[in-house]
Amino acid sequence: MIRVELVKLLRRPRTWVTIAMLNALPTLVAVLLALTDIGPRPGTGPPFLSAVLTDGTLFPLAALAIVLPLFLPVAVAVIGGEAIAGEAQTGTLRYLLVRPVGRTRLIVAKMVSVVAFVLLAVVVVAVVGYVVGQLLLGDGDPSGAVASVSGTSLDSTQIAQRTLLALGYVTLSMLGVAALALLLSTFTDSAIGAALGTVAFLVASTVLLGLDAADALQPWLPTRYWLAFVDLFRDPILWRDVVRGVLLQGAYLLVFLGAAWANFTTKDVTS
Amino acid sequence: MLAAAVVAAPYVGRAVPVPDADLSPAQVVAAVESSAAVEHSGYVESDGAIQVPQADTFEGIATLLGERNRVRVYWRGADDWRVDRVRATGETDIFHRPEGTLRWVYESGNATVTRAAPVRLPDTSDVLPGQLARRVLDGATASELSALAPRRVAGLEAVGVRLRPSDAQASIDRADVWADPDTGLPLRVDVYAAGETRPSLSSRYADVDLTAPAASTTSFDPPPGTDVRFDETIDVADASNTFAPYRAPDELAGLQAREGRPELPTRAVGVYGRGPTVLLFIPLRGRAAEPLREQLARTPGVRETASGTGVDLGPLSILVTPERRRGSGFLLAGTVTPQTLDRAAAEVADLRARFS
Amino acid sequence: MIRTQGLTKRYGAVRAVDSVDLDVREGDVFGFLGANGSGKTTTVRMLLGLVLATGGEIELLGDPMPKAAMTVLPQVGALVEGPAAYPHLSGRANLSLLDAAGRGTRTRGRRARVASVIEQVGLDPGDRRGVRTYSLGMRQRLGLASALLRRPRLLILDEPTNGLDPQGIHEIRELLLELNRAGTTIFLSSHLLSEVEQLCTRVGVLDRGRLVVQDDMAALSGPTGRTVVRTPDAAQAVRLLTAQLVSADGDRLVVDDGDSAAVNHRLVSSGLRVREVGPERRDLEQVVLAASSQERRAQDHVVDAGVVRS
Repeated sequence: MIRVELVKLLRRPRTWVTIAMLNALPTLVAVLLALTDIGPRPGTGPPFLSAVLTDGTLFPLAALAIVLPLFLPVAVAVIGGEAIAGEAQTGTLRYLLVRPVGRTRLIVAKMVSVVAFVLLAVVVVAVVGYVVGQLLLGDGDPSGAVASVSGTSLDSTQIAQRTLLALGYVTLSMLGVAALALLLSTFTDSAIGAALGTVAFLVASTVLLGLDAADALQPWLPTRYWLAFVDLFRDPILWRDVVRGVLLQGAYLLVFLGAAWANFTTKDVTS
Repeated sequence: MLAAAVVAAPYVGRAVPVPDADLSPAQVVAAVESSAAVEHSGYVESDGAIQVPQADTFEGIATLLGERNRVRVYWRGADDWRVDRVRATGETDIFHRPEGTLRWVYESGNATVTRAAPVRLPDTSDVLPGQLARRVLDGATASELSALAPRRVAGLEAVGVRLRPSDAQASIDRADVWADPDTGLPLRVDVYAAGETRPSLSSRYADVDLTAPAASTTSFDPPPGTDVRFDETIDVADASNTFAPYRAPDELAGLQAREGRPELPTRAVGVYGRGPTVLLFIPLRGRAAEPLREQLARTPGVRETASGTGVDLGPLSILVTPERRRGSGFLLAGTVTPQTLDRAAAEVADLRARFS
Repeated sequence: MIRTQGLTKRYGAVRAVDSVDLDVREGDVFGFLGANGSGKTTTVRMLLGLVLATGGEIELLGDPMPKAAMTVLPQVGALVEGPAAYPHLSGRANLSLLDAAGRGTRTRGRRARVASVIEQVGLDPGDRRGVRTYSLGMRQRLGLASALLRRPRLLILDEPTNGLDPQGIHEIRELLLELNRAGTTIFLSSHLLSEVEQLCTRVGVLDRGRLVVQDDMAALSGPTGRTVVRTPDAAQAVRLLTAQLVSADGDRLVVDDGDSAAVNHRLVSSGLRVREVGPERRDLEQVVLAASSQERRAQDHVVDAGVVRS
């Protein structure tokens, strides 16, 4: 069943349109940077953007930082929201279930395919970012060394390792979103409804993050630690928020997936 | 179940009761005052509620006193430390050595070296619990101190002491300090303005490790593509102290000059007061004083009096004296009452420039 | 093949399906009749484990549902509330995906399985267009094809000829009869009486959630024990047959005598002309209407009693 879901994911035009759109913005940013050579002022704009002016090696991370606050979660919400609700909408859900595909198996396969999408999206953004960075932006130091955020030098092996860690972290951060979208997807027969619900939740989280009165809530907000992947490029690595982010996303993942499973396995399929 | 455990984990640690330590307030203060050499590393969160107007003169002070700052600390001694102010988009690091200070700003890729300065405006290192507590408790008398219940800070059992300054000039109502009883390292400091229930400035360790950080962490080796620049002066206070043709008075508004380092004498700039009561006297050139006057004049609650243009921002009061030659003036600022600033302005009104 | 006992589905206070005892036997072509909203679809969904029953028991192929869904459903083909497919994929790709879905599906022979059902339902095997370009009739055929993929012992079909042209309806009917002859039991839910009449060997009628009729087609539409006579000499005939006469409507008389030959003989020997004579048969529509109105009266009665009591 997992294979079937992956085939469905990869053969759906929407998957690739979404990924193409995800890459459009970072590519545009790279072109603008290459043309104007103007980086953001300290404390503003996405991280790594000023650094990529001299060294394109970091552009995969800058690209992720550009799409992370909005584009990536929206894309994940759309694909995740489609998981069950999309099948309900086309009516294929009932035919899968009488095939029969066990409800648990189906939702696990759906989750795996959404995870695959997240991974695919993150990796494609990183790869496109790397290519664009190499083509359009600075070549950096001939030794391949890159300045860490704390002002030390990272050699190319360290950069590669930390970039992989960051990709993993961003993927995990998006899995929380995917799990929520999947949960909402089991409640409604409207894929767009599930996606919008997920986006609304994330917007609420972002609004609360900016509100001092919501201080007590902030450690539990799903978007709280998203940008902590920047901490992986400090020297020494600042693990604090990364670890918290991993635990928090893990908790969201368990809660949302558990609820999605509980709801889907006991609900009447009337679509 | 697992999710509940994850959610509850941070609270369980805080719930462990803290045993009483047998230290008197004076002993705690003594331990804190001798803690500058305590080696440690950690993660500090500071929250400021003082809305300093954004002016070039004050550089990063608005951020320092008005926002939440996340700071990483590597402390190998009073003259060998590194303090990183961590941002989502990068960081600003200060590497400090006896011979000088290096400031690294990631986003601009700039490293700036300045020599050690006798006076400067507050920077990130001054809001660390350690630096803040040592300054606040400096010169405290027994009658100003009382004991606070111990509390757990960053996983350590910390002993507490409260200071209520007895100086009439003070705008600070009280400062609460909690420190590690074994090393004296301050772990948390809350500073309250008179009449406030929330601290004007709060700084605490969220994580602390009382082992010595590696020497490599506090040394700076410029990464590729970085220009290391040398700056004559560190900020407007240092520049004024070095170049302004004045000599600061020894006493101002009834406050004694604070003792600096004997090998680095102050001249034009004066720092007065004791403990949490600080009064700064900085002569400004017209180029610096004019925009600052305009900025203060636009600030809500501005006082325009004979002594100058002033604003009161909770515990912090700022005043620029009326125009002297070519727009120049004196900046008076500090954690003192507005009346104290007026008095100080009157006292320095006749101060004459000296050309030596 | 299908047996339910007291099958009930409540939505809040509303009983969408109320104590239904279905009995479909092996080899039947069972017509499941009912108006729209009578609970047909809900019943079908409960049989297939899509909707969970509020009360009662379901047995499919001798095993309890939905407990044994994983072993029972592979032997069942279904078409529920219209066909459905992924619009961007071709019919063949849709069938391949469905064939691959679920536990224990083999890759080997998939092409052959898919090709054979496509041919069976009369779709063009060379068609590579996406299903979004299909007409309703083609989609219906595709839906049937997916129901047939596993060579099911039991077919549960909801309105299978919906959207087909007369030629298509005929083809599908032939296909179903052929499958039935080969041993497939067919449960056909429909609101088209004629379709059920032509195809089915047994009939169940659902009215407002209750099963009001369940019997063999032969028994339902068999002779009623009366004789229908059409004669141009109606007035004389009425007089002659007064004792046994049930009704007279113009030239059409209904006589309470199952022996139409004897009735004919009496009329002819009395010199009356007979245009038509034969045993009376009811059609399905009359059966359904009669059963429904009877049920309604019974229920209204209960309601009246309730009002009186309160």
